[in-house]
Amino acid sequence: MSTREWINERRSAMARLELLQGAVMSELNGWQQPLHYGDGASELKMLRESVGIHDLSPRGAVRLVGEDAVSLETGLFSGQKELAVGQARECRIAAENETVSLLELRLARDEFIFLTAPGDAETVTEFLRSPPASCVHTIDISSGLAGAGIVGPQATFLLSMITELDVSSEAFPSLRCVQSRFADVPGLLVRQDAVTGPAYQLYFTREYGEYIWEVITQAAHHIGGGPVGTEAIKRLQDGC
Amino acid sequence: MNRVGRNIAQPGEIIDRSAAVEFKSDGRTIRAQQGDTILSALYAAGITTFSRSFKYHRPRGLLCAAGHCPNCLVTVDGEPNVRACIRPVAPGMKVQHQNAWPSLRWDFLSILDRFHWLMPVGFYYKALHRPKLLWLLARGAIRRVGGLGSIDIERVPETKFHHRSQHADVAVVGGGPAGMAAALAAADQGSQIVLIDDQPHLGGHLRFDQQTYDSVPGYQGKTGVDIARAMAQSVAESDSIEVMSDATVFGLYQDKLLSILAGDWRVTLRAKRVVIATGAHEVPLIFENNDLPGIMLASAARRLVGLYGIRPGANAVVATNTELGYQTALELLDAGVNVAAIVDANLESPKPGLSATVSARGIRVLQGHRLVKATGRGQVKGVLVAPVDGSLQSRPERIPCDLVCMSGGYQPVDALLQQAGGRLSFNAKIGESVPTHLPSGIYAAGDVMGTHGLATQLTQGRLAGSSTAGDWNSSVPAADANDTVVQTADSVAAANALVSGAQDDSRSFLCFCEDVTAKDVTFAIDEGFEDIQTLKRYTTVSMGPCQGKMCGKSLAAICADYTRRSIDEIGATTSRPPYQPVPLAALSGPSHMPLKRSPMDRLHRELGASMVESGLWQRPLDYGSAQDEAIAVRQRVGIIDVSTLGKLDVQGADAPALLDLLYTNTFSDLGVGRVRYGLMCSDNGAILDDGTVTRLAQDRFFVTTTSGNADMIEDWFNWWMSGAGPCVHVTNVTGAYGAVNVAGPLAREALSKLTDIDLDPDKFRYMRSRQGQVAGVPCLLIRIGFVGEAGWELHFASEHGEYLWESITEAGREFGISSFGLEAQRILRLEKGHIIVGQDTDSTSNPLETRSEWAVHLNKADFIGRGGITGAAERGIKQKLVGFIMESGLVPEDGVPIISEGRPVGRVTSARLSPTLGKGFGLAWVPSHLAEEGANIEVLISDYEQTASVTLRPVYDPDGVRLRS
Repeated sequence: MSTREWINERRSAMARLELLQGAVMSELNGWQQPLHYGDGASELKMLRESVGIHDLSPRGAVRLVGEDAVSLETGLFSGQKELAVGQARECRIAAENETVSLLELRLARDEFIFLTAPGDAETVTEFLRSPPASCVHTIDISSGLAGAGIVGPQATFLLSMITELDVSSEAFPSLRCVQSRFADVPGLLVRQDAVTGPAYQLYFTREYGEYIWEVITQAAHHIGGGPVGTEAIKRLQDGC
Repeated sequence: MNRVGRNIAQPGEIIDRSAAVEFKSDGRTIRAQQGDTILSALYAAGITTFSRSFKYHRPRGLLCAAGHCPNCLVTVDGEPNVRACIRPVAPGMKVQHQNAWPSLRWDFLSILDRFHWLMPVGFYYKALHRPKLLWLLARGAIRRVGGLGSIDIERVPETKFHHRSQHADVAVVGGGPAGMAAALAAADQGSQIVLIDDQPHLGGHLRFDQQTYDSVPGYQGKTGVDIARAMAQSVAESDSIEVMSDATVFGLYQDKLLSILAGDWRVTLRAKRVVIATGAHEVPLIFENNDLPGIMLASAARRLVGLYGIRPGANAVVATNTELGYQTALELLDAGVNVAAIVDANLESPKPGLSATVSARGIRVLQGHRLVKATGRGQVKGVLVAPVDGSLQSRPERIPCDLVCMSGGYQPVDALLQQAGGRLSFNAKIGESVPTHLPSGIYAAGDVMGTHGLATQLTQGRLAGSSTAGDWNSSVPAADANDTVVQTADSVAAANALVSGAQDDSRSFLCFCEDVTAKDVTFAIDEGFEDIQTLKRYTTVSMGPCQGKMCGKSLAAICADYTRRSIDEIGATTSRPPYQPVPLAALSGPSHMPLKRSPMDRLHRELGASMVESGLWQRPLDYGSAQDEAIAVRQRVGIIDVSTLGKLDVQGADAPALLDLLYTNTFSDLGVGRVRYGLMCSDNGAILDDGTVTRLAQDRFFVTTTSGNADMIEDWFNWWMSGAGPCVHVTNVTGAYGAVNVAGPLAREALSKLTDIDLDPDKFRYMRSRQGQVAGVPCLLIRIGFVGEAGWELHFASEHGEYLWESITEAGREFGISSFGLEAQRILRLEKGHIIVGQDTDSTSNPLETRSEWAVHLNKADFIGRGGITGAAERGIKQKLVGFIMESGLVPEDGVPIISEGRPVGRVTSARLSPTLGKGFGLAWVPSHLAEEGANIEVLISDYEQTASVTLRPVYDPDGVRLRS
């Protein structure tokens, strides 16, 4: 084997379309991610006034499933009350030298998903490792999911263009999750509002990445929004 | 003064007289006002003929002016069948007439009207069918002559329609007084309401109603226009009411799901409660030449006057059986139209005070009379009037006129009520079908309930709106003839009398859409079509663009009168969505196809691959030459994207038991790191799927399925999981892992450049797996050989797909690596005799027939399909899947028959040209007695039988030496 150092670029399922849409890519957390689409100021404006969509595929996702999932989860997050099905919560775990932030979703009686920052899935998988005798399993499904963040005052309206679910603030407030069909393919929707307004995360199987991205960018364009890069998201979060 | 034209300003008009808009109609420049519809602009410009009729090409003018009838269908900027009466004008738009040549005025095909006696209803079922050639010619001619505009196939329409869904506590359909009252009352209860109205402004019929209402609580002394404005203002000020104007509810489905077309949006609205306040249509009268331009519904004339400030004619006759006719006459008079007479079918005036008023203003009232005939060519010039009592012996009186306003009572717009599951019954007191039962959560108010008095409409609306806040069942108060309705028992009788006189005449049109006359209907009844449903289908009445809005009530009335049955006995035709015509583009919405793409999709396209759809996946068929690619694999090394394989992660202590249950072979004895082919059958023993199973750990397996079956097999696993034990979990990881197969005599050399894993044949044997890094990427390597060469299937996290593909092709460059596609893979696997489930098998093929008995372990515990397989064995195997090699160089197509003694006895499932043999070869189903090595079979190629010999062994590397090397 050659002693060559491998330079590995991870790409999301939407990378090809993002490039076609004018994305200026940059390496972030080991992933090629759109920094902006040519005009960061317009993207920030979209996020504030209509809707911006951004690629969440680099995020990690770990599935915890099994009859003993609840007892394991309760043991690991002692002090927290049991999460109801369809609810989500922000939490942290202490890893070796760091604290990892998570978004915990309860999808079913015996099934949880833990969403993490890019690169943290392995740590979380290890954290959730179950005792050998119990019937609970963890699996890192980060690579199988593509994701799109949908942020802005028109985010709810955009979702109404791809799902029949009622995702209004009354019916689907922040920190809720639901599995359903979006633009005719299965997906997982999480609402985690930002200070600036409604914000959703839509996850779907990676092979549908281009399809979903095409559908939601077209929908966003129709209502005055569009794709945004990591720069605009960061500026929004920073309150610029 | 012009006969028609723009009149003085009206209190309820919706045009902006200070803003002009110009557009073209049949090449002529039309100057309109902002707020005009195409029709109102054309009418104001003196154009009163808008279309030619469907069958006889008779000139047709304005009928309803409300978007319900077929009379004003035009083509606008290439879009056919636009209703001119509801499409607003826009600067520069190009309007063209339809269904007339060379012009709307001089239509060559209007000659058909002279020969109408040759084309009675249903003539095409009986005539022109022999000889057969005649029907082919006639059918083409009929299609050419009939129709409603044509689609410009050269035009690429914009995808302008979008879909969205919406939710509400209460949906109110109809923005008239009852609908607005319901919405306001529901809002008072704290509900969120969506109010949907098909007009640009709220108010319904009040928008052009200039009479003063003295007895309506809260609105004493106000005109209809004033009341509409006040209520619309209240609605607009409510934070709880969202108004959807210019929107049509075209379907009401289960669980109160409404389909709405609102401009460029198709909205699916799910509401907890629905109030239907859709109003009523005015019914046209039936008399000879009742379709002449200049003859319109009274409400249409009122709309022209009240909304657009247009004087619809100079000299009018109003024919009616309700007080609405009297009101219309007064409004026409106010608009400067001379009213020559009111022809009232009632023997006595429905409202004596009103009768006195019109008489006082000099309008002649002919009580107990009806219209017999309209005269004129291309425009009404006069009417013949006769008594309704049948005393036609007296000569009908001719009254000259250029405008006839007809008002034959009401037909409630009950389509949505029917679709919601409401039951309706004919109320003889008011002459209308009204709801007698409404499903839970559905409410109705206003004209649709047979309630035509404004005060009661408002009360009913408020009641419905208030009721939506509770869990009360809908109440259906009976329509009260004494208080709420305009029609009386006498007027109903009068209406029936109006119908009965028209049945002998062949130019009295009942259905304006399909050119069906009253006589056509009686003709069809005489032929035996007495049932309203079959009568509808045979005559096509109510099957045109209006969907029965103009003709439904009259059809039932004629049928009842002619067959001497009651209207309740006749019943009504069924209302189905769409209630209003909807463009197909609106239903389809934006053009998106949910296709799956592999992580290397972009690279395949860059490499010039011909992409094909394989199930939902986009896959490379080839990169130029499948034969060259196949040869490269046989001689050097090839790489193929197999990311499309279904992949399941099966974990748990009970995982081995589940796999043993689902597969025909055994996996509980599979060692960790080993790989086994798996065959899966359905309950009846038919092959369901196949793939490989790799044991990653004692309690963890990696399962692959065929590309198209991943989701189905995941469901199959979950379905049977309960029978395997409590602790097993399946995760579909198809998208999580990209996969490539690197195969060929130099595959080892190429891959060895990228990994520390020892690929030596003795260290990494056939049907074994290893986990390690390739080009720095964590991979699962499985040594299998679908294409018949030494090769490795690499599975890796999808995000590394492009990188890994490029790394492998770069490493393999010195070994002549070639990308190969689906077609080359098909050739190579065929040479090895490997089946593709679904291609070489069908829904009845069992493993004994495919000669896969080696993969069936009957000595293990029960498994799915065991009974089917053993049963098939007991019954005897009648056909088998075998290989064949053509004697000639010909290659049969997939699916061609195998012939024996002149009869088809089997079929080819897959056939290709073998690069190894240089001959055509493949797999075929043959009778068991022919499934012998070397047996001759005949394959039908281009109608000639060609000899092939059966082979039971792979045509390439039959002993698997290269595979294991």
